[in-house]
Amino acid sequence: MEARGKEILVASIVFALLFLFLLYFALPITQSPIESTNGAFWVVVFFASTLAFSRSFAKERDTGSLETLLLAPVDRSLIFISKALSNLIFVAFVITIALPAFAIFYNFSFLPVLLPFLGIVTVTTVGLVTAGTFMGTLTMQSRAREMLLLLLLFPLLIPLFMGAVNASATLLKAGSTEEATSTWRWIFFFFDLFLPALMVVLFDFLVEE
Amino acid sequence: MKSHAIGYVVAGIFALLSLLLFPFAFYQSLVKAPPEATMGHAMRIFYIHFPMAILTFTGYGACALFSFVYLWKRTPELDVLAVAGAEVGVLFNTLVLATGMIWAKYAWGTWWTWDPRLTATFILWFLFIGYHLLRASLENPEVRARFSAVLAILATLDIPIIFLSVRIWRGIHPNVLQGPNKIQMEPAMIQAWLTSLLAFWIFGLAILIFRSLLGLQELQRKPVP
Repeated sequence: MEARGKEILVASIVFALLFLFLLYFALPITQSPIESTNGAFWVVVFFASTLAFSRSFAKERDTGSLETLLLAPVDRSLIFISKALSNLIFVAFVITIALPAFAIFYNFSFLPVLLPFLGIVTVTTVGLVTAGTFMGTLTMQSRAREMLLLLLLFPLLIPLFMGAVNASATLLKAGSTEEATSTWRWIFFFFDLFLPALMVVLFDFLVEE
Repeated sequence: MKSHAIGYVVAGIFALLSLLLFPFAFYQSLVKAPPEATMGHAMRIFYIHFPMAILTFTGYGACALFSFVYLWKRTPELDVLAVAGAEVGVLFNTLVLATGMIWAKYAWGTWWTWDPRLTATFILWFLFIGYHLLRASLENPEVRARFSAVLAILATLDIPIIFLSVRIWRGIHPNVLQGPNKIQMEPAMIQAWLTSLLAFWIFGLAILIFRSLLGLQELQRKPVP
């Protein structure tokens, strides 16, 4: 499992870099540098992360050990939270590589607003990872689950995606945190607090035998 | 089979009622109602467009409601009703997008704009297409019912947030009931609007009930093990 986790991590990072490379030729980077780069960054983060989510319960499914895991004398919600946390670490790794890569290859100058920018990255990633882990569980028994995960996850996450792209674009252009977060705050509250709470409750319905 | 007789009678009455109402609604909206001041006759597609939007929400609303009750009661019949709602919802969601695009081509000069309501309706379409794809990929009927009910609840709760997020952009979609873009409607236009809404809505309900009955019959033929 450990070895396979490492494989997937390397694959995700390479995928992110490859995507970065492709998007450079697709976007008007030279005309509107900061908005295009910012948009490209978020597309790469969202897509590269989904590789992790479809793997959330891969080991349990392949070895048939989900029942064993569910026998553990802990609350089911803890299983979901720990799966989400391990996915969070995974996505954090991908972003740690992707962000400097964007700085190098796209001249992405987020350094003047580093802390608020990382704040937006953090709240977005928490929402992305929770929803992703949940959808990974929801699609785990399906055929063509990787494909289905993308199709179910992205429509659900469009508000979060819009929030992340617009808040960080405002931040990078205007440089003020207040302006960047004021309009999109509610979206982040929804995806970081309300939706995770709901998913913890709904998770019970996905893993009952 | 016998238990569904009442359902068939109700659906039949609804279908008949809508058949009787349609000529009246078409006369009202195509002949009697005057052309709109700025849009002229193109305005008339609104008499179809609006009922399609209401039926989209009726279908998805039924899906959300029955999914919620399914997770509580766990009877396969409720799952069948939820699917019927989602299917009818997707049908009218497609139609509302199509009629809206025809109208937009005339009124705004383009088939599509990324206006809040258009964007949100399109996202809704994706969400419920995903619902059907998830169902198609699960073989165990119990798991399929349970998982798709969870997805339907999640999608439904996401809808207000989708509308909020896309509304943060300024929209050009006319709000017929209030606001600065409100359509000035004469009594004849309001009459046409309401009769078509009623005719289409009853028609949509008939489809919804027929689809549910079909599902229930399939369920009886292939009982869940």
